[in-house]
Order: sequence, then C-alpha cells, then structure tokens
Amino acid sequence: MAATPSTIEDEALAAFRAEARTWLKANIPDHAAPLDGPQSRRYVLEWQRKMYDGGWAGLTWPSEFGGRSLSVVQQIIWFEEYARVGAPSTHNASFVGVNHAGPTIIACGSDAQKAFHLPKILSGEAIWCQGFSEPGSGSDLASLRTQGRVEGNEIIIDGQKIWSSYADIADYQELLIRTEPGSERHRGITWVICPMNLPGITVRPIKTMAGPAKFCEVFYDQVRLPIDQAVVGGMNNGWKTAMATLGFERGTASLALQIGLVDKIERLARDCTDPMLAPRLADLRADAAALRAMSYSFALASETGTPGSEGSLIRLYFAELAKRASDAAIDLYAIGSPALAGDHGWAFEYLDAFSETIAGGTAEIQRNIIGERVLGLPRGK
Amino acid sequence: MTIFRSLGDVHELVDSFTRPVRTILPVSRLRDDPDGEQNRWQAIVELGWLGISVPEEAGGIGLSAIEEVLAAQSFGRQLISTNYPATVIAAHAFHKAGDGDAVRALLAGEARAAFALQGNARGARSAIDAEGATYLVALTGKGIEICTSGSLEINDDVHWGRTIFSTPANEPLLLDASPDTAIRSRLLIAALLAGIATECCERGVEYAKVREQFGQPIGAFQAVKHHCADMAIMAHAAKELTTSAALAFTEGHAEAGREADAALNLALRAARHNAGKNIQVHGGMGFSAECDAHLYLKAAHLLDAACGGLSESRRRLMNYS
Repeated sequence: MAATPSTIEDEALAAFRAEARTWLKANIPDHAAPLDGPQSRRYVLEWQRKMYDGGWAGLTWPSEFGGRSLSVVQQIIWFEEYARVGAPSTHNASFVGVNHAGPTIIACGSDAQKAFHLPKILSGEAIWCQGFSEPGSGSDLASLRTQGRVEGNEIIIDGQKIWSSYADIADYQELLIRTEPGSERHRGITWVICPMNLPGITVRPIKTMAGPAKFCEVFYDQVRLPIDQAVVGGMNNGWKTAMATLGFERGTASLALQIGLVDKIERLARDCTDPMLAPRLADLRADAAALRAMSYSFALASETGTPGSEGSLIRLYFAELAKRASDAAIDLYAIGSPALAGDHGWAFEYLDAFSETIAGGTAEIQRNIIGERVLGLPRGK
Repeated sequence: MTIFRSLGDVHELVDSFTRPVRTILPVSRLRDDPDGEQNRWQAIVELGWLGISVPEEAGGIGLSAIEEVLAAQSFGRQLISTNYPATVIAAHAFHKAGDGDAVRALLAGEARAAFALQGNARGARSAIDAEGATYLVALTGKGIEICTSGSLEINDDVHWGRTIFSTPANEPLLLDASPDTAIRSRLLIAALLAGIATECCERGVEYAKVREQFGQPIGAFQAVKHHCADMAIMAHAAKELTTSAALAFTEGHAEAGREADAALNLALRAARHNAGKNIQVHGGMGFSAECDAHLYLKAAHLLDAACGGLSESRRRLMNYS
C-alpha cells in the first residue's frame, strides 16, 4: 500500500503566493484604518478600489460577476499573505457587501440587480450594511417585526433595526422585513435592498464600549421601495434568501479573520518574556494551530461538497480564542504600554473582543445550536 | 504553515483495517477482565497495528504517519494498552538504529515495550504496565531512551486503572535523539488522546439523551447541553490538529515539529477536559467505578505522564521562535 500523492504547495501555488506578497507589500495603505465615520468610508472604498484595480477584489466571486473564482487554497494563501503584511482588517465597512450582500445577490438576485450592484461592490463604489437584528430580535432573529406593507408596485417600510454596522456611512442595506401580515417566525419575511438615502430613514450611531461608533440604530418611517428593484429571492421568501449564503459566510468569509487571529497570537507569543505568562501563551499557540487546522480543513471540504456541521464548532472556538488572546495581551503588555494604545492596539482589541461571543448569536445560543443540531440533543421543554 | 490535502481516501483505508478494534478491545474488558490484556496483544500483533508506518522491508505495513495517527485515534477510543504506543515508538527507534531483529521481534509480539516515567527520586523510576515487557521506553528531553526491563515492584495498582511499577533506572540500551522519532512519538500520543476526547464526548452525549430527570432527558437542559458542546469542540480541535500535524510531518514540512508539539498540548487538554465533563454528565454513576467514565480520565493521565506532561509541552512550544 502506498501513501496518497502529496499536493503540498506546488510551483504554481508558490508563484501565486509570491505574486500576492509582492502586490500587497507595494500597495497596503501607509496609514492605519480609521474605525468609524466618513473617514472610515473613504479609507475602505479607496482600499477596495485599489484591490479591484490590482485584480485582487472578489477573489471568491465567480469570474462572470467580476470576481476571480479562486480556489480555496489560493484564498488561504492570499489571506495568509494579507495577515503577514498587516493589511487592513477585512472586518471593515466593506465586509457586508463583499461577503454577504454581494454573494446573496449572486445567488438569488435578478439580472438587473446583479448588473447594477455587483460592480459597485467590487470596485469600491458602494458600502453595504446589514439590517437583520431588531431591539426585540437579537439571537432570536426569526421574531423580527419590522413591517413591509405592499401597496401597488411598492413596499412601505415601518420599524426599527439595530446593530447595523456602518449604517451611517452605507449606501445600501440588506434588510429583512415582515411582508406577510400576521405571519410568524421564518415565514412571511422578505429580503430587500434598501438605499440608505431614502426619505423616512433615520440613522443613529451607537458608540461601543471599545470606542468607535460603528454600530447603528436605523429607524424606518414610511420608507418606500419599488418591489422589482428591491426584492431579492422572491416575496415572503426572505429567510431562505438570507440562509442561501450562510454556508458561504461561515465557510470562507471567516477565513480572513481566522488567519488574522492566528497571526496575532503568534506575535503575542514571540513578545512574551514573562515566565508566568508563558504557559498561557503556549496554550494559545496550540489553540491557534488548532483553529488553523480546523478552518483550513473545513474550507477545503466546503469547496468539494457540502461542509459538515463543524462550522458552528469552529465559529465558537474562534470567538472564545479571540477573547482569550486579547485577555493575555492585556496581562502581557499592561495598561499604559504603547502596545495597548492607539486605534488598533490591544486595548481596543481586548474591549472589542467582548462582542465576539455576542454578535451573530451569543455563545450560549451557539452552544444550544451545537448541542441540538450537531449532537442531536433534545430541545428543552 | 500551509498544508493542503484531502484525506477522504486515507480515512477509508484506515477504517478498513482498524474496524475490528471495537470487538477486540471493548472498553468493558477493563472492568470485566483486567488481566486479559496479554491475550489481546496477540490480536493487535496479527492485525499489523504495531507496524502501520514501519517500512514493508522491515516487516511493517509501510504506510505513513498519517495512517498511523488516524488508526491511533480509533485505538485511543478503546483505551488500548499504553504498551501499544510504547512498542510502536520502540519499533521506530530500533528501525532508525538499524536493529532489524529488535524491530521484527516487537512487530511479531515476541518482545513488548512499556513506558518508563521520569522524575522519580533516588535513581528509581516508574513504569506503566511493565509486567512481561522486554523494554522500557522513556520520552526524555534528550530523546527516546530505551532500556531493558529490570526488577519491578508494584507502586500503585489502585488509582490509575493500570499498574504502576517502581523499577531501577537502568543504563539506556539505545538513545534515539532524532527529531523524527520524537515527533512520531508526540503525534502518536496526541492521536490516542484525541481518541479519548472523542469517545468521552460521544459517551457523554449518548447518556445525556437517555438519562431523564425532571421529566426530560438531561441533555435538554442547557447547562448539560453546553458541557456537551464544549466536549464536541475540544474533540474536533484535537482530532483536526493531530491529523494536520501528521500531514505536516509526512510532507516533510519545516514546522512539523512545532505542529506536533501544538497537537500534543491541545490533545492533552482536550482529553482531560472531556474525561472530566463526561464524568460530570454521568452524575453519581460517573463517580462510581461501575461506570467506565473514570477509565478515560485515568488513561489520559497515564499518556500525559508518559510524554512528559502538559508543562513540558508548554515549555517546548514557547521555545519556538
């Protein structure tokens, strides 16, 4: 019996890595990304435009929509190089457009919607935000109540969304509304494209405990949307539309963040000279290696077939590792040190990491999901 | 560190030759027939499990460390004797030293190895399950030390589910200081521990589905469900990292040693975490010796002792630049 042939980084992949590294080194912005407000919008659009012009935008998007249809292995290599040079975090104002709204329009949008929106997202002309959560619908998203009343060719929206990152600087919003009166849970919801400059929309930024005001509350008072331009994936079919790209989001969109965290932990471990902290850093190093092993293997599996349920395991592992890493950083550097200060220092990372086990479904809800959907445990009475 | 390879076909191959493990090594044997391990050794020998990654010309199956690691994950779930990793490691060390006779004797079941532990006072050392073993294998900072087994005195046959002996510290017969054998040893032990973590998770989950209190299965309660979710995460992490580290080693990756140390560190924590949670989920029964839950915890500790422990793994991990 012989071992299977190896497909370790071959010449073509090594050349791709070199190409990515050269481009990134020559092109990464010379100043750090602002965290919120109009200056953040300018920065993100400029960087997106630069990647687009250099042929590095939409790596995961199909080439017919302006992307590069790269393999998962190439994406991993790109993100490894991206993290190595310290390029701007992908979790910025372009994240929703590139990783969520864009792929949803690709999967479920009309030809006109694709032709209008996709080039704007890729080339850095438009910023998108997400309007899913509501004050009464956090982890329990299906309880959402923002209303869309159909009147002729229009939908008239009334209600309120919250935790809508960058809504104050966004051009469009992917918005979930209840369009079937009296419907409950996952039924009767519609996924719509909502331009943020329409009359009746009010945005209020919410300052977070980490400093920036990137989250927003959005209020809708008789906001009118033309149905044919706005609805994606069919009327009252919004839950399915929102789920269409969930696998995508959980699979490769998070790769950049995971690789970025592995890189941050490595830097911490190299900086550690305190013998009392060394055991914690050693464990974090091992945990980072495990995160990498799990996310690469999951991403590769998503490429060749339907990924298993382990995506939810990896997501929670990532969230808690991000918190533990920044917790160790606070002890390693101490308050007042240059490593903690500044927009992108560890103080920000530490405080911001508290959102990791809350956003997108709290860690408690994630554990319920793992227990029930992955392990087959019964739901409580 | 980037290694990409789909392992679907390898999993299939390994499943095909490890399938009998549940019949040959039911965990219940450790309750019902604690002296029966000797008889089961013959089956392990005949199935070729001792030489999975020993080259064919030396009497092994000739597969890679990947197959060895995946197989060990299944063996770990059945709490295979610690003589198993000790003998496999000895076979690799003797093979490296060019001692073909010793390799053949180990693979044929004519000789067997047990783990010797470090750190005993006054020149004595401890050994696990060393009765009838030809060799004692110690994983030390210098490398793999092998010596012939000497006189044995029972040190503890109460607490660890296996017998711990005291034995004089004999002069080593062989010191294998190669990074290769050290990495193989760490991968093998990490894989056994990952198997323990996986089995504990499955057993805890199964119990949580059937044990009812307050009119419903205890797994419906979030506090119990969340323990189960944590076990699933740790088991998955240990399995994936161990497998990826074996892949890195097989591919000759420059960072294979570091990856193996990370895998061992994680697997040590995962096995102990899951063994403890499994006992907790089993409640009062979990604390009784009539339930198998304690056996996994004890097995995890013995492998921990054999490889130098968590602290040693942390020290090594922090030595990488």
